[in-house]
Amino acid sequence: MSEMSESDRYYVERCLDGYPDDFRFLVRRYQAVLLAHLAGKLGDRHMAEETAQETLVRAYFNMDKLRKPESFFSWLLGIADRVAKEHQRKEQTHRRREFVPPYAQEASQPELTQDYALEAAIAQLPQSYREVVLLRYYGDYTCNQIAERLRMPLGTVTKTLSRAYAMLRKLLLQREHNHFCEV
Amino acid sequence: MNCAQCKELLVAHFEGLLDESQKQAVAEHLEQCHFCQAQANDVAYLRERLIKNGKVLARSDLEEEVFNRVIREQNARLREAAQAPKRMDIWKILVKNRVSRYAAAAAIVVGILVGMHFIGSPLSTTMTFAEVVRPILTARTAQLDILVGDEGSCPVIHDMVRGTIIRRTFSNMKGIVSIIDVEKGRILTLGEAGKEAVSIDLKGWPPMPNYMDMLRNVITDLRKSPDFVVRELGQRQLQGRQLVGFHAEYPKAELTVWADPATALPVRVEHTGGQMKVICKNFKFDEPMDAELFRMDVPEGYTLQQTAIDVYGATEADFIEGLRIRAELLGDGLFPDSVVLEAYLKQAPMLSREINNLGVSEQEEMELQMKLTRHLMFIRFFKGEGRWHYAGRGVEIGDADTAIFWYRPEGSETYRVIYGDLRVENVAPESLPAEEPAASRLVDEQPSQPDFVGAQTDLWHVKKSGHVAVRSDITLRRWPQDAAVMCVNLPYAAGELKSVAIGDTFVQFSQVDEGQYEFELPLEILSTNQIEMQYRWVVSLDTLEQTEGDYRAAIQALVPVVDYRLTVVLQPDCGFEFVEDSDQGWQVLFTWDGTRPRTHFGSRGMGIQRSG
Repeated sequence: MSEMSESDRYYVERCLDGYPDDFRFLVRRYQAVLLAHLAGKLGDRHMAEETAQETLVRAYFNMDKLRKPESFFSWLLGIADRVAKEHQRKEQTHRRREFVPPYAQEASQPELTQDYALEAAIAQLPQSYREVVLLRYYGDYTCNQIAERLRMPLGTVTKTLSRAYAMLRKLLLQREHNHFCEV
Repeated sequence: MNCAQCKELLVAHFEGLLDESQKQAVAEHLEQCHFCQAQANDVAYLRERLIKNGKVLARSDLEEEVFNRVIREQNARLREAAQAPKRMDIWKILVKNRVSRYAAAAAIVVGILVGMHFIGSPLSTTMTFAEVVRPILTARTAQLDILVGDEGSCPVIHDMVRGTIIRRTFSNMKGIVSIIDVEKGRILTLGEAGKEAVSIDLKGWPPMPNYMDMLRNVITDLRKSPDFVVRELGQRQLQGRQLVGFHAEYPKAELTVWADPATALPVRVEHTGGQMKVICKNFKFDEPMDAELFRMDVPEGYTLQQTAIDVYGATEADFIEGLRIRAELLGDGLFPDSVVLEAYLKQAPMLSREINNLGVSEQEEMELQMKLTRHLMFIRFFKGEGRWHYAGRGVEIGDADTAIFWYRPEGSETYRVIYGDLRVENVAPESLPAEEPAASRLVDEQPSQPDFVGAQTDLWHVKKSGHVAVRSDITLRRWPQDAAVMCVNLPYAAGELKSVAIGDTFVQFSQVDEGQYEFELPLEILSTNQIEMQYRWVVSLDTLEQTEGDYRAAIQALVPVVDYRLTVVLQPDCGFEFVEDSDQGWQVLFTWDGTRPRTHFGSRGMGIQRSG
């Protein structure tokens, strides 16, 4: 993993400096994070992949507009949110045109190979909590690395995680409950 | 430890962040307190879910697809910026698609006519000098590559000739082989992918003797011709070897033959005749060939389609009908950029695809292809006086005021002029549309963009010997899908290329001129998304320009680039030093200014001098 040990800032600057290939390190670093984030939002694995790709491509071509290279990750999530919104809008128009019944989305869920309920719950977390959870479990960062990255004390990271767990549990329970009521 | 304290340390506990005494305390509390125990279980369960899901997602690999998209997008931007014709894009996509069998068949007929042009007309034959032509006069088999149009960007036709039969393949139509019997006027085309065979009988095919015999006859005739003037070009370094050249001019054609002085074997033949340029190279004579490769019967399991084409009967009306089809059905209402064969050949797969997209029946499609073929034959076997002229590029069909094509029929005083509405008028020579200079016409048919575009990073290493060892890494962003030959120019004529690697593979290269090298691109890499190449070359510092003791580097990329970076480093004790202290070496960087990919970036002083 030594090749990936450089900071985001380093890779962003390398890309802008004429080594666009180094963008792949950023892709490797954030692809799982992006997918988790987007899958939760969109509820569809394929759409999440498509949007994640689109997000990364847009990031690549707009890197020169990134004012603070060290905040690449938050910026990337921002792009992802916009792309996801566009996709949802497109999807809606598409659906309206095709008169697909509203439960069609629900029907596509069994195809998911991952933990959709969990991803959806993560997507509902407040941003600061979501970032820490995504980095910890999808970016494979240790708590110490997260502390360093987000410039916060280690204690704050563990506290944030602790609260995030509580919120996730609540969200997951709620979801199960709703599901139960529907059935 | 109480519950509040335990709760606070729970996450750190799972993350392995606690010291021994804290760990101990948490463990003890959990053992006693069922409430905290339950909470710990919840956290453990959630963590497990998160870790598992994280692993599932970590397996997905977006990298390749993201980079493909980046490259596609970049290419699109490049093209847009240079305002290259849009069809390049389509072309790239289409090359990978299967060509319909009829379409391929028609393209191959055209291809054959191209090859025959070279050997078929007395003007075009190449070998004039007795020694050079002897192998042709005696060879029983031959192999050669035929290029129509400009080297490096045009498809390569590879011919194996054995007696009266030619086995022909095209670099831009993979999986398709044509076996041509020139004596019987029959072509069998085999498409590997769909196990499809198309047999075409060429009606009106002139009684042709054996292929090689014909070549021999032509040579003999030529030698007798009083108008045939040969000029010796002497020796030259070409294709990596010393060759001897002859240039021959005939009233209607120009011809250059390069031969190996030791063996007198022709190596390369360049021919410009009529309005077409043909290069033949990589000749091999009398190599054993497997007779199986030349069988004219349909292999088992192939479906056969049979048809016939009248080769010589093409009329002006056929030509006009083809123009109409090309403009109305295939050109969005615009006449084609060019009506020459090589342009058609290059676009054949694309046109085929467009015909497929018309959604016509097989029968109609076949008829369409036949009409197009006859249209092309009119040009191929042009029977008029002098040159024909085409000015239809960008003209809309129906434009009655613009002349798009004119020529003088054999024996006629007046010209036939075809207008944008496809009416034809007889026009006196003095009333003809203004003629474009021949040079600009040729330029017009060139691609408006360089064929190869990349990004280059150079590392110059100044050595003790006063030599600079250079490593040039090039990432090609764009290249012609059908290029077989790539040509590079070192910034210095005295520079010497040491190696060329594509990916991890070294390729053979040859010197074309001083500082100029060429090599063949392996066909299989052309369909990849990115080509990485590494060149190693050397140049002596003495060759470099100097101003006030400072060496100036010519900032010049090997191919047109959108990005160029050069770093100069000095070998310790090499006898040179940087004028200003520099541990990093000296660097210069050029990025694309958004206009056109560039090769030359001027020259810069490197700030190095002899030490001491």
